[in-house]
Amino acid sequence: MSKTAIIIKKLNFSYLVRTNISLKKNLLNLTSKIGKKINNKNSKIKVFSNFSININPGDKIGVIGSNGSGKTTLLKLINNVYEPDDGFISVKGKVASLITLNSGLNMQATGLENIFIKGYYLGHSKDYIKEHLDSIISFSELGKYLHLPINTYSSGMILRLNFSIVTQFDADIILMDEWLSLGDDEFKKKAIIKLNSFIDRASILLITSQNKNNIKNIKNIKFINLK
Amino acid sequence: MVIKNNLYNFFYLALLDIKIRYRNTFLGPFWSTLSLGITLVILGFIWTKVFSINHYEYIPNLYLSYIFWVWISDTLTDSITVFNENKDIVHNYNIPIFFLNFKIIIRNFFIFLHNFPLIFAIFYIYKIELGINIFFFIIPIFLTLTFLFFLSIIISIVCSYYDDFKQATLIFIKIFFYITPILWLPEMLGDKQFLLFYNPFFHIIELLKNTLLSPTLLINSFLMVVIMNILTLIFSIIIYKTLNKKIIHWI
Repeated sequence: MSKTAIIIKKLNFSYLVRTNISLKKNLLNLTSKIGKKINNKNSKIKVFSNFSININPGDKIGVIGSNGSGKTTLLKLINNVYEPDDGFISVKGKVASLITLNSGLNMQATGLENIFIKGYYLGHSKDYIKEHLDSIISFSELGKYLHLPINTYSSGMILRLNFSIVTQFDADIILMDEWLSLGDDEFKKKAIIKLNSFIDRASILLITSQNKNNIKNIKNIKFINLK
Repeated sequence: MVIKNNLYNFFYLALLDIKIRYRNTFLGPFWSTLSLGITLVILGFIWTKVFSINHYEYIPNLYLSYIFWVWISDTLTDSITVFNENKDIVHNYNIPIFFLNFKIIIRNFFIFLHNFPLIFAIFYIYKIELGINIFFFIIPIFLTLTFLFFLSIIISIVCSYYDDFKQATLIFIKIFFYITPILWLPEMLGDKQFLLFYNPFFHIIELLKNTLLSPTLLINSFLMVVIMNILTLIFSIIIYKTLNKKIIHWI
């Protein structure tokens, strides 16, 4: 396997903001070519222009910036959820995204079924999930609750389930949005140890924060500032 | 490799969807069979009385067409909101979004399979011989699945851009229910029968139905379904290639 790395060159990315998009206006514009056009343009919010960065194996990067500076957007671009308007992004290695940890669950399904559901969305095969099933179950400490639909769970229990699923599958690159707030005290201690070992095993970590102080405890962390 | 993996995964996800949706019910997915069965019995009874039609010819046609139509229209209706309903997935997972369409296709196909007892019941009651056609049935089924898949991609992308299309598509589905020979037989159109040639769903339903009912293959409908497949394939590839990464900004 080739070396884990992230290379971003001259990245341009903007959000399209849909204002007043309607079929009616587009049709009216078609018919009234000469008359004044009704404003029906996508407005754009520029997030990145000519942004470049090289992230090498072993790098722990703290992405610092205020609200709306593009921290999460950068992570989602690396995870190939967003596509850049222009520029080049190359990501080598298996990515684990801990951005919005609570995504991809079916509230009517049981905890056990959700391990599979989330695993499938993460792109893991049935066999691979089965291999890790025991360790996910034992780490989550949900025991008999795993056979209940998760709409009966407390938010702390859902977080546990999610955390156990995501950190159980190995990854080369970890994307995190802020340092996680992790449920009650006892689980928190265990989770922090787990998270640290998860990060240690991975080669690259990208973590966002509004404030350097929140994440300066991570060993050898380097910071990049978004405007 | 990634594609193949995802195909399996979304296949399982579709099955899980069905299992979860019907978990707390007594009949499970057979509820849809039951509701369809009741509708068909009532429809069949009333229409044969009201129009005093020879029911030996009319009823098998009505029932089969209706069962196929429910499959088609449910799939298309689900496609309208698929990206909005799976917003969470689109925004957080690195998955080609057409797999969400694939999931709808599989889910609706398996619900459709639960209606097969109704088809067998009709064959039993009307003493229609199944014969060798049942083996060829897989061909129109496959062609319908692929056509629905391509059409689903087109509908879901267009509908997630223009909200107007959500309403419009629902109306179109309704219109096609009436202008496709489901509640009536093609012959009933008299000299206007040629109009049916321009209705894509006519060819699909005719092909599905006739493979079961008559020993001859409808070459015309077969060719039309193949052509429709090619056209929707091309169009869905174009629209997908240009827009698939933009959808995330719209929903």
